[in-house]
Amino acid sequence: MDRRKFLKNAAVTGGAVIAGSMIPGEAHASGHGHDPAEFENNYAVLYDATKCIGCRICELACNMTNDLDKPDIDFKDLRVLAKKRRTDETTHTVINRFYPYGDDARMNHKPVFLKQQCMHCNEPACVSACIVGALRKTPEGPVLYDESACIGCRYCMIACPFQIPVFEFDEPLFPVIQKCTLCIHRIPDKLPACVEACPQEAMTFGRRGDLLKLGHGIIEQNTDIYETEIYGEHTAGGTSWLYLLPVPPVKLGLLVQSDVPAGQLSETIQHSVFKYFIPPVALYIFLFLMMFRSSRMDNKSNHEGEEE
Amino acid sequence: MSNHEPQVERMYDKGYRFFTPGTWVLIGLIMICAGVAFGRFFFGLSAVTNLDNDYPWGIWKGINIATFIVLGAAGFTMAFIAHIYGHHKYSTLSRQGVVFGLLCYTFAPISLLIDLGRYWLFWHPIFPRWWQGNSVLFEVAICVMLYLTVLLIEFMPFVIEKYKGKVAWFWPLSMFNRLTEWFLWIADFILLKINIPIIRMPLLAFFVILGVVLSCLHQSSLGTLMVIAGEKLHPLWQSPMLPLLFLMSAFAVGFPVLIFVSLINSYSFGKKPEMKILSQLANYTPWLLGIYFILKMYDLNYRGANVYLYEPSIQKWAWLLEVGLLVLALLMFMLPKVRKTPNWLFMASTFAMVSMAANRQNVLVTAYRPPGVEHVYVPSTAEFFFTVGLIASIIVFYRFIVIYVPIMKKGGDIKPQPEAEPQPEMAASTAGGAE
Repeated sequence: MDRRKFLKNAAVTGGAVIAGSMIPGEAHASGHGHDPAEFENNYAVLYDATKCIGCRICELACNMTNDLDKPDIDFKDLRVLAKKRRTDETTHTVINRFYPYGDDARMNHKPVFLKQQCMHCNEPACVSACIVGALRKTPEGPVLYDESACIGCRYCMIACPFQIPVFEFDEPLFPVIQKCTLCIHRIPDKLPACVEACPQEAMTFGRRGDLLKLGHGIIEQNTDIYETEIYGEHTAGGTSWLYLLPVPPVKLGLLVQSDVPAGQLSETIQHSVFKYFIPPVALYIFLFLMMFRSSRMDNKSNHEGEEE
Repeated sequence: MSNHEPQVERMYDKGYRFFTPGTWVLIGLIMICAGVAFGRFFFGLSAVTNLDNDYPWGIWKGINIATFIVLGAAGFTMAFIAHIYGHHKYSTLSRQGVVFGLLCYTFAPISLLIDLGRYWLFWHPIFPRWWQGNSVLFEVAICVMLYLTVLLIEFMPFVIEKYKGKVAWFWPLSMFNRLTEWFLWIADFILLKINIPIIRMPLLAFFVILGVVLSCLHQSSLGTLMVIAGEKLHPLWQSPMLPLLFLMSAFAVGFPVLIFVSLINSYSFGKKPEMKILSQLANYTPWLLGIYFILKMYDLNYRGANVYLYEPSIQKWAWLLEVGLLVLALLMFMLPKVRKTPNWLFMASTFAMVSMAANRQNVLVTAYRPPGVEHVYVPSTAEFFFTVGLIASIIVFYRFIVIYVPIMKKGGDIKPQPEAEPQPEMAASTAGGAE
């Protein structure tokens, strides 16, 4: 057997596998392609960044209601706003300060504050990624974590486009993933802790469909103040947290711009490769035939010994 | 298959023993590695690693898992060419490939076990209750587990060949002699003795094919793993083509790994390098590496990501290192002189291996740069020594297997072998170890 023949066969072998990933996956087969109307009744929060004054009371409320570790720096200390922070073990929501109009204090440039927490995506990447289904999108809206299933691989943290899940790296035996639950333990009797605690009433809790209408109404009446789009209406396939922003989202560190759910591409690839198990089975049969042929040829040539 | 069993021998019969000063040094490294594992188990991941919420995955994923698995491709590429394609002259090399692959695929999950936060639940993905078909990681985990089993099955004939009917464990394991014997007899019967009618192949043949299929699946899925990270992965690497590139690079690196392993074997056991057969194997490599290189470049240009090569970043240099080594290996493999000279061939294979290792480390770790995060992940000393210890484990176990299990070709000795003392057969031997 010459080399060219080998390469040809090798190419076909590879092709059989690869062909799988080239077939465009059906939207529904991959679990995507949801109708936005499906999420209309989800619990959601509309956050108005123009009202937020960066007081960090929501962070404190989150810490208290979830019974989290005490932070090194007290929640009253606003100096921490000088640095950009992310969610951690002490709070599942953080306020960051931005100067989208320029950061020269003498020019009276106004800061804009932005609250960040789990966005509770309609089609969450963490849920798509989780190896054991420890994360799930509930029909009510919140994306919830089940520690009894979690094996601690931290793939959800790799997947989340918003960098939200927190892992207890200092816990040797029982580390868990922590993230906002939309205060599922409080609703529907009480509002989520951060929403309730906000002195500015910057947040409105409700059903996603209603909040979108409300948000668009506010934008229409104040076109000079707000961006025309609600961040989260379509972002990453839509989220339960909806942001009314005075400046383009990029200026507030909201770098996720795509309307495609982060898990969609990898799911499409994955489901194409495994479509009804056709590509793997085809590859198996192909290899079997190849082996069968070579063993037949050996028997015919009666072990003429080393080829070539 | 069985009628093509190569002329093989175990190094124990040549007078080689497991413990040498070199082995002790490696065992020392493994002890350090065990110390790191101890630290992790008692004080948590943050005590020994530099991982944090921004960088949840480090070199224990990039090197210990992704790199070990791509180097383990030696097993399935050799099984393919020797047994499926039917080039039986590669059978001996295929044995070494199976053993090397087996060790890579053993230590990758061991590392994963230590890296998992809730490692005592590691068995969850096996049971349908926790299956999550959308997760790429789930697919990788299942395929790696199955393939590890297949590798063990492929390894069994070598043990059976030497030890069936002759099992003699040292005390106190000698009480398991009968049990091991039974186990080997049953394995032999099922895998090799039953000849499927009409096609006239032993059952083992079906496992060999399964091994290749599983390898193709999880080698490509490892590439899909980081697709979900989206824009968090540097554009020099992030691409929907990642699974194809990973698969192609696994094809391409299999033979260089085998050449590397075989040459080291020959050097350390005083044998003549099997240049005739290695050169033939090396003849395929420039094509495979070439296809991979062209695909990689095409993908980069198609996505227009080549502009990032002109921007200053750490990632740019990591990319240049990876691709530079790839080009170097490709060029070297293209020269007939390199393919025919042991030392050059060794160097070219090393470059190819390091390039693929760098690629895996880059995709899983270096390329991962979440937006708005200012600090950079650098592995801690403990993380580094843990990885070194795992590599040492692979070497030590490989030596152990070469000495006690026949996987080396007979003959070709160039230097006087250590005196083989006439010892009672199997005085200190081990077998299978599965019982």
